[in-house]
Amino acid sequence: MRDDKPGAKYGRDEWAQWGVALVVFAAVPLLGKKHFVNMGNEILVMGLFAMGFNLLYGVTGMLSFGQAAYYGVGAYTVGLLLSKGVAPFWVALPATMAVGGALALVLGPLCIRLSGVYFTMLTLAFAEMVWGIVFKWYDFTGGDNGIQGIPMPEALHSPLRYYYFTLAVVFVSFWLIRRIVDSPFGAVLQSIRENPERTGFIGVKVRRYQLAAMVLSGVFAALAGGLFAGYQHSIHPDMLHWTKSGEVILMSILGGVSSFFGPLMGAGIIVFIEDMIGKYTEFWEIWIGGIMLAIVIFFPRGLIGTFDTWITRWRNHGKHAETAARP
Amino acid sequence: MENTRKPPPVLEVRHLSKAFGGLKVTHDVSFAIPPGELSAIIGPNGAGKTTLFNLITGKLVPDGGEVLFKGERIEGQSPADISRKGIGRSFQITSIFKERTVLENVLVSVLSREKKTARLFRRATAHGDAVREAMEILATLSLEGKAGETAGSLPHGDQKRLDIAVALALNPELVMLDEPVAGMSPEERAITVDLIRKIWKEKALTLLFIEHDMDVVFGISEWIRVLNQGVLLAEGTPAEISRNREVITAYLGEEIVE
Amino acid sequence: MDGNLLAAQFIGGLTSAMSLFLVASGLTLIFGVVNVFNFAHGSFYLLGAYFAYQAVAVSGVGFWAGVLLASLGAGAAGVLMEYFFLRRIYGRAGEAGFQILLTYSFILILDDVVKMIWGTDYKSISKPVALAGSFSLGEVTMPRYDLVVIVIGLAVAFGMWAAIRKTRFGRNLRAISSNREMASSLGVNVPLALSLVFGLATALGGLSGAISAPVRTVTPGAGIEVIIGSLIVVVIGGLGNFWGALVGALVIGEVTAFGILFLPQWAILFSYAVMALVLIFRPEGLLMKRGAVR
Repeated sequence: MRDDKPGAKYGRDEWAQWGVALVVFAAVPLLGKKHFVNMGNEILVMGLFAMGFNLLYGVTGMLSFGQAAYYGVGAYTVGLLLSKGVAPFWVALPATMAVGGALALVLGPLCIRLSGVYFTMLTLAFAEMVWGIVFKWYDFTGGDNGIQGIPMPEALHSPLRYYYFTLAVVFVSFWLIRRIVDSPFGAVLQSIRENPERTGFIGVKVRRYQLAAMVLSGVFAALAGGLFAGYQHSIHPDMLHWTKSGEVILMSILGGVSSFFGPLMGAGIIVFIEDMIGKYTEFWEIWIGGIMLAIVIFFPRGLIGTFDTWITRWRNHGKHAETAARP
Repeated sequence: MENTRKPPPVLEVRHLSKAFGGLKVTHDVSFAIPPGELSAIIGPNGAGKTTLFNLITGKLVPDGGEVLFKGERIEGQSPADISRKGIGRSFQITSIFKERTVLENVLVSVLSREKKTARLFRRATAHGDAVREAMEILATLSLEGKAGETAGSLPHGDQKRLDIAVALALNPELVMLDEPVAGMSPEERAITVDLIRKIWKEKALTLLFIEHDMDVVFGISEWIRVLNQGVLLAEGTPAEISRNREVITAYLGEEIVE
Repeated sequence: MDGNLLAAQFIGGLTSAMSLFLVASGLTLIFGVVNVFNFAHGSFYLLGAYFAYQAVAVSGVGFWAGVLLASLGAGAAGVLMEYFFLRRIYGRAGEAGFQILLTYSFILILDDVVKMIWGTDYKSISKPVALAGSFSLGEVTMPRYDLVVIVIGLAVAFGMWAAIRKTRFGRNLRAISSNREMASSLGVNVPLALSLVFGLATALGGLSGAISAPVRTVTPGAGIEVIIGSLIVVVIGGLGNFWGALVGALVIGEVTAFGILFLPQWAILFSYAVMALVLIFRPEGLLMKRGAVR
């Protein structure tokens, strides 16, 4: 099923992917349109969000439907600390990671008490709870007004500068995620995905590692949320809405959860599609739903995965095509 | 008659019981395994052999009775805790990490034993000693040539041996193999049985296995325990078991005894 | 606090418990028999509500005929979803994840379909005239309509229990739920039964939406609210456990009703708190056997 395991050695292909991704994103502002910089920024942020999510889903095999809570909490950490003048951006941004991790440490132990669909639904339910709190706590979060006019430091005022700042933070995060996936810890996470029971029988306390995966995933999601808040200067409880969690899942499976850069690619495609659809219709959910449905039924391995399958099939002239093509 | 300086048993099971619904799958089973013994558990299908393994290794919690590993009570503990104490097992239905490479399967087990799995940034494959050890273990099971292959793509017999390799990587004192040669061709069986015996000798393991192939069981076991309907029917040397009337009627049939 | 108010809250809680139960019991039935977690189950509630609106308020069909049509319509939609889509992923590796994603895509699609057809405004339908008033039971007065909802809920509960326990169809369902291949080899038409169960369960969701339409306004987006409510219900009761769904619904209905009384702004948090407590102390749900989930 997965020839392109995240744990595989860095092949030439993957170095090429890193290179291409960096060059493409670095070149976006050269297109000279502010709109593209905005989109590039959103792709980077959502890409980080999706790659962090994939640490949980693609790597550890835990489908969380509540990642928006961490993303939103990260955004509110930046929004609240800055707008209330408690801490500067340079403190607030790293603080998002602490807050995201802490939230995972609170909700995670409850969610991992059950597994499979139960786990997924619990993550959703508790994320909705967090959303409800943010939505209703007017005195603290501004409720459904959100927070506007988040003051940013002088150095990051221009969108272009902020874009390159985001680019740097996101790619450093990607590199960290790559190291984590390849580490002994990452090897254990992948073992849990493959066969949780057997992982227990090699002396691993599975739940502890599942919780750790949730925490790491929450940390990156919150960082992405913080980056987004800094770019938009305004935030809204919608960032925590369950559809946001759905979106990040869609991005990951669209790109392919078993390839390292799959989620980033998915993020790029979805941000682009939403931008296009947004111009023509208010009914974008049906498009997103339709795409998701098509992927689940026809391309369960995602675009990169499907592409890989075709390549493998072509190289082997149908020799191993059957085993490689099985979802 | 008895050796008075007999060493304490590695594993001791006392009055172990387990029922599913009304069905007693393990009923008041007691035995002790001295260090270094190579022994088999036999019995007809549904005799409770695998359940017994599951009770010992923590997959199931017994309803009653005790399991002692090197004198310490372990019943009801988690598989992770029990594995760490030094019991490694393989599974009747091969249980490996199918989408990982053969090397990765064993490496993660080595790293787990060395308590290095909390390491976040150094690459797993950069742990030279662990990789070397994993390769050595693969070599003892003639799998070193397939280290880079995806485990799920191996033929059945190789997967069964990999399952054993994953267990051995824990450096266990007690190894429990659940039908290690089931589904293999006769030649493959012979090779695997030789490998198992060699590993047992070289590593001075205590080894307990479940098997249906009576040639294998009587060929390598020093001691045999017979389970039937959850009850320990008999135990003894292969010679004793093959002469045991009860065992013959319950299980072996006539062809074993000349 | 006066007794009448408490009694009124209690009855209100009971009413919403029944509406939750109708959805949750369908969810749990599908999970138990088809082994699918139908994330889109709340959307069939939504469809039921809009179908009822269409029938009663727009087309002028009588109230109960409208409710019946709405349930049938939702059930038919459920059968279509199972037959044309879900069926294609049965038995696939990693099926559970794909089930969630597939049914999730239906939440999005149905949400927008509803918006396209009926717009985004709040809709409501009026109660049937005969049930508009309230009636008194000693000191306590209760809306007649609520009583009807409670009776319908209980009737469905016992009807389903009887159907599952006493009929041939129910026996087949139990066989499928414990072992699909075995049931098939015994001559049960498994694919047909799965479609029927899906239709029945989604019809129950539609029924819930239809009879709730007069007491709660009909809006798009109700689907997700309802699915999360039912999810909490089944976690509390134990997923796949029929009576668990009833107990869970009663707990959540009442906890929410009294929560509103004491802490109106944070009422929604009470059900989450109950769920968290259940997860900590009885992760297998209140009515499941201990250790059933691990």
